Amino acid sequence: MPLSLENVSYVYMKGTPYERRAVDNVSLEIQKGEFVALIGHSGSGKSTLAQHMAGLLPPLAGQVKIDGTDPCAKGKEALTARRKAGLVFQYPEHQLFAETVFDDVAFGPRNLGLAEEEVRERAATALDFAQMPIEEFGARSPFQLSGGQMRKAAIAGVIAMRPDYLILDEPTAGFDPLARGLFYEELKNLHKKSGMAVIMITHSMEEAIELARRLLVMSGGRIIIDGQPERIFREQRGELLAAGVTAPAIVSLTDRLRAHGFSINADCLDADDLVAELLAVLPGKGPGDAR
Amino acid sequence: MLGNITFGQYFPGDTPVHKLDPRTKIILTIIVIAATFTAADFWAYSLLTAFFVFVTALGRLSFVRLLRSVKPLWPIILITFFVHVFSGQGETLFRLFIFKITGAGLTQGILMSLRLVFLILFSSLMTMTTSPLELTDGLERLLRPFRRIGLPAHELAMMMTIALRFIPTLLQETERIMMAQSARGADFKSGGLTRKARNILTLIVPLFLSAFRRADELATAMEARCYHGGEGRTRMHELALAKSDALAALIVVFLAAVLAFIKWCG
Ligand SMILES: Nc1ncnc2c1ncn2[C@@H]1O[C@H](COP(=O)(O)OP(=O)(O)OP(=O)(O)O)[C@@H](O)[C@H]1O
Ligand SMILES: [Mg+2]
Repeated sequence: MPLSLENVSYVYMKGTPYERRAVDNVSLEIQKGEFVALIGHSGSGKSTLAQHMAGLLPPLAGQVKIDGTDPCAKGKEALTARRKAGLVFQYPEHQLFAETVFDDVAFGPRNLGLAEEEVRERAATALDFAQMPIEEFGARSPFQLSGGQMRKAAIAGVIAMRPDYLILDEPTAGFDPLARGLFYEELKNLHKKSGMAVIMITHSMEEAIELARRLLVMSGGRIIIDGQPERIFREQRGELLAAGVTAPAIVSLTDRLRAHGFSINADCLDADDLVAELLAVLPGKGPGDAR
Repeated sequence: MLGNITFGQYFPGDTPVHKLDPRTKIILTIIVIAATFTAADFWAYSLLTAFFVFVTALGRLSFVRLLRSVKPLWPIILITFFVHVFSGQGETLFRLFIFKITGAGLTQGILMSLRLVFLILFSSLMTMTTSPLELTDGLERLLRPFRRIGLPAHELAMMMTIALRFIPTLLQETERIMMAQSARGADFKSGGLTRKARNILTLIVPLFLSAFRRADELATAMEARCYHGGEGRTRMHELALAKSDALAALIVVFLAAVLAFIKWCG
């Protein structure tokens, strides 16, 4: 069963002059095993929507269901539903609290009531995911780590919960390109291995298409585009522009090549694919005799 | 869940009440509240109510919202009421358990609670129509004469401005961290006492850290802009009294005079 939102709306500071509609009548469904990227300009409501999806913020209108259960209700069932969704907040490093990295990462699993052995195992795997081996970092204070390490430790704290739906709110903002690449590699592996759904909020279309097979574009609190990246770049370029999001560089490159008469596939989202397409059409240079 | 605090919140507007000089508003509010505490009969309270309605309408504020600002202080008002009712002197009206209720006590109780309600209403009226910045500005100007006896007027006002500015920010932060820890299975509502205490700790540590971080950043930012306290500081917006301030003062003085007349002659 999926994670589903039905006509969800949210207004901050309702009934005051500062009232602000952050999420406007959003409906969507996310299946287990999907990798979804949520993209949109600043203030379009992504973080608010993420909190709805995780069942942490009850919507003012509409309904959230995690595997068929309302996570915002009271009682045990709702709690179980809530624990199926894990949300890594924007700037999660600000929520570290424990004396050691291990204790912080173990906080979630301990709340699940697991045995200490299992807790340790989960914390170790999660810290491996963050490339912070437990032997080296486990006993250190989280407050003496670098900013990037703090971020990764905090992310590990959510990963250790082993949610069915992992929601990440701009997890790599402020990472250097190398760390970002490594993080996405690990995330891809985790997604493949665990079969969880990953919903990643990002500002970068490049990252979105590298990882996700489904793109949600948000603008003014609404999901205005929902679909496969290739199809969106082919058919919904106008809407994309209206949302203040640009197509990735590779798409404009392909566009220009096609405009100059190269008959190549318009759906290339990957450098290797584009090279292969080009080699195939360049006179006298079949893919066989490249290099 | 923490965002519903109406008491003291500013509602921007462009009405004559909003535009009054903050000093005028502070002083006149104090006068009106003092007058409220001398008011002791039906006519006096009718007049005050009329005045309250007049200012609220002039400031285009919602009565419901103003009345809601009384809500958090209900317990205090109720306690005041009962203390006065039960400790009244004079002839017994009727008995309730061991207490005797007297006419004088009842009147006293109603009067005191009414005064408290008006105290809250009039101060809310001021804070809802004056931005925190203006309010501290006004306060600083009013306190300035006391600098001669060593009162750090500017520093006090600056501290107040910063505190007021950061209360909503910290509330938001609390809410965010609470959610983040809930996402990791923390439960702030149920569970035993030790579990609750431990969960609160996961809230307090990050909150303190963030408060210190913010304070640090703010201090650096102020220093980078060459802030060095009140000495020799000029301001971008000088407060200036206008005709409307004189008019407001006249109205309030007239009101106070009528209330005094009712008290001594009525
Ligand atoms: N706690 C809050 N109180 C009041 N308004 C808020 C609050 N949080 C967000 N908003 C407002 O709601 C709108 C959506 O905010 P949200 O944080 O969901 O945007 P976002 O898409 O995540 O932006 P960003 O990319 O900058 O993180 C914004 O206009 C914002 O000003
Ligand atoms: Mg955000």
